[in-house]
Amino acid sequence: MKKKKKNRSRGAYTTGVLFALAVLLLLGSMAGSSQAALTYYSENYSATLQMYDIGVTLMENERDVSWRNYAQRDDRWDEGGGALLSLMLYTGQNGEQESLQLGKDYKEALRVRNSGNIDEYVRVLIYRYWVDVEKKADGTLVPLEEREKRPDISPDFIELKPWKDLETSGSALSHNDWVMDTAASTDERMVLYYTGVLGKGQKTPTFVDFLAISKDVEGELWQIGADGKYTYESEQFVLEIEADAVQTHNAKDAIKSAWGVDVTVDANGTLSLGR
Amino acid sequence: MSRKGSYHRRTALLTALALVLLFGSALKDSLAYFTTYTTARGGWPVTFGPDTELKEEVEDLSKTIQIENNGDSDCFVRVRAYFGEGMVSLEKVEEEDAKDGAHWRREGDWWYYDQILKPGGTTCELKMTFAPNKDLNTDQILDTFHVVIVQESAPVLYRQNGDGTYTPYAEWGPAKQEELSEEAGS
Repeated sequence: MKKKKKNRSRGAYTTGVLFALAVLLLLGSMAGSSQAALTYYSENYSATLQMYDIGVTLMENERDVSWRNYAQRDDRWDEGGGALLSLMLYTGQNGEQESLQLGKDYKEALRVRNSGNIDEYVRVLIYRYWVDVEKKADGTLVPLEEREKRPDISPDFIELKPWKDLETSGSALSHNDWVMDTAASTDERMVLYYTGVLGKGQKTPTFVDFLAISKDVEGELWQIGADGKYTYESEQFVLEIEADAVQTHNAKDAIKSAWGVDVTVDANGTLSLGR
Repeated sequence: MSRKGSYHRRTALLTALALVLLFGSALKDSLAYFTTYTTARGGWPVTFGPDTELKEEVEDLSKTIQIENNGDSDCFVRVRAYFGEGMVSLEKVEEEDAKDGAHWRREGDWWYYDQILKPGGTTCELKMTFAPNKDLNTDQILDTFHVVIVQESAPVLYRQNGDGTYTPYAEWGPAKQEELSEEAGS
């Protein structure tokens, strides 16, 4: 009888321990889903909760121009910027504006910075196109996104270097550890993948160094009018860039899920396109 | 069923429940990847072709010429004078208001302004003075003095020097002839 009672007591103890373990595992998994690590620091049991957040920033000539970082709270993002090329042309103190010169290489050092606190893979989608110069009744310009696109003017006149030079020379389409996904790229869109792991706080090498508007565009748009003289029109070129980032953990599946592309990741973490 | 068996079954059930909860919650993690993106956009108008205006003043047998850039883009300009060579000849050409040295230079029949003409900018004045031919005097010429000034403008292009610097230049072939002056002398 005494032995039976002892067994029952041991069984209840075991059940209790297992139940407590189950609760701990459950709580642990919940903490895991919010990517939290609990670290005990001292005898006072003070604890630090280290959040793991993803973030990406687009940089133009060493200046942050657009960013979106997870803000350590549920579905809250710190995001801002969005204006590209705003300093490409000189603006004087009195507002006088330098006019764009055809054929001139303008410095346009574009790169991506990891503004989160986990390692990530990044890619960029670059869109080049032309729009009409449309003004409102008050003389101000209509916002870019509302302008009429001009698909009849080739995006190739918007030259991004060194990619333009690589294409012209027939060289491999890679630069500074960035590779072009030629299958996904079109005249208007360039898709570039950074092959390395971008550690937290790190910046990629530049994926574009210079921008130029080919002088050939002028020859395309100059016309001889009814009066027998040259006429010309003003158009606006647009450069639009999307920088994407994804976690490095389980990278192959994560990239497939997020970007819909198959990649291979070698032992060093170097990414290459295709299976 | 023994009480011992019941304990074991309860233990097994609790363990199984714990594992289901654990892996169930972990499953959500494995399907939700950390991703983010950001976008930026910008551009500038490109004005095709220059827009310049010729200004001239006539005094006796001379014309003072100045060109203003009324367009939105930089340009180079050049001028030339057409006149009856049996009546007059070009006696001298001088710059009236050059503050930092001469900028008009002659190549063949054309006079080129060697500075980039910015939007809103004007060239310094170029004064062309004509002289009557030997068997005519000025009074006779003034009634029939007829000099036509043609000016052309071309957009500024840049040639890479290979060392990171650029040399601006113009292609005069497709240049736009902005104005034809037919003002007679007074």
